Amino acid sequence: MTETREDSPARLFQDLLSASGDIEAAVRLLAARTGLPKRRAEAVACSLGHVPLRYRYNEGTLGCGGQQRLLEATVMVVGLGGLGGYVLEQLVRCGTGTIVAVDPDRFEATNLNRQLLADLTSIGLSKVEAARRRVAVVNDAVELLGHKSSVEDLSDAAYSGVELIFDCLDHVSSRLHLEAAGTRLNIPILHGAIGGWYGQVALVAPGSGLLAALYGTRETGIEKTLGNPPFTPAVIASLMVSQGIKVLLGKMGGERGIFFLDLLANTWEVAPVVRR
Amino acid sequence: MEVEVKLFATLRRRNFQQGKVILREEPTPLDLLARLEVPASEVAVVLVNGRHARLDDRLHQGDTVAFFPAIAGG
Repeated sequence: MTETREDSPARLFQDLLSASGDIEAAVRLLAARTGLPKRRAEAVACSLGHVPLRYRYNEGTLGCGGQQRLLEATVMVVGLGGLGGYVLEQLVRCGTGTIVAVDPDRFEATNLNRQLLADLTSIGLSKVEAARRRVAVVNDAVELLGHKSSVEDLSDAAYSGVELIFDCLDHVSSRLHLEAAGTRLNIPILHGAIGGWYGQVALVAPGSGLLAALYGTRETGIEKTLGNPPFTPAVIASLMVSQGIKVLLGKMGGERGIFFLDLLANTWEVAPVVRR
Repeated sequence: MEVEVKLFATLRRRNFQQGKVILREEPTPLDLLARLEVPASEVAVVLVNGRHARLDDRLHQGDTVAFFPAIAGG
């Protein structure tokens, strides 16, 4: 049956908002009456210029249309450790509608210094389950699709609808596996990596082979000796999310390259991604 | 001939991070690393004048050469 203007979610939302004068209440009622997921109901509100309170401080930067777009977006976060915990947190608070989260591991004591989802209550818990609990208490409009799986064992079906992948992995071989999947399925990857005071971020276009070129035959990097202190993942994850949001909102300009950050010397260098 | 060299992160040495290095004619990035006592195995990315280069490419007077290590943690 074709939806008429009278019974469209937008019209219903307007009626509910007129009656209550409360965006949150109108979103809640719209979801209850139509069966729409909350993220969809929030997107309807944004499409009519009514941004829910939880996104009020996003609005000046992302705009109403940008918030709607994020609520309708599907992204994947691979690795829920140092980078992944912070990436997930920011995506959830941004109101990224659907997040596919992938990690086969459980939290252990060595994660406590830097991994946002690791705390005294989550030791022994699977990282995917900890992510699910975090999403439930921070933003229940976000749909989290968890996969307790390595990237190597992930089926192509898990990538269904994914527009952008956040590479928060900590093994080179897994990163290269993910890059191959991104190429095969034509999904761009926001790559981040950390070690000591240092980190890098790059947007990996499908087919570019950037990560394979970057790592060559190496299995590890400087993190092997320097470890990962708490501040570096937070900085690099923030850079990954800011770039990722730009990709999703079509705000990427000419800035292409591998960003190298040095938090010890306070330098920021950009290397081009095009190989000679 | 003289080239400008930048070393990043763990490639930096106590007495050298960035500066001019004088070398024999037609040197390569590999020659530069040997002069600076930086193991080539620690270098993941080489840029010459902001473009990717190989360790055996020829350098020219006035080139700027930057070396980066591999970073892979998450």
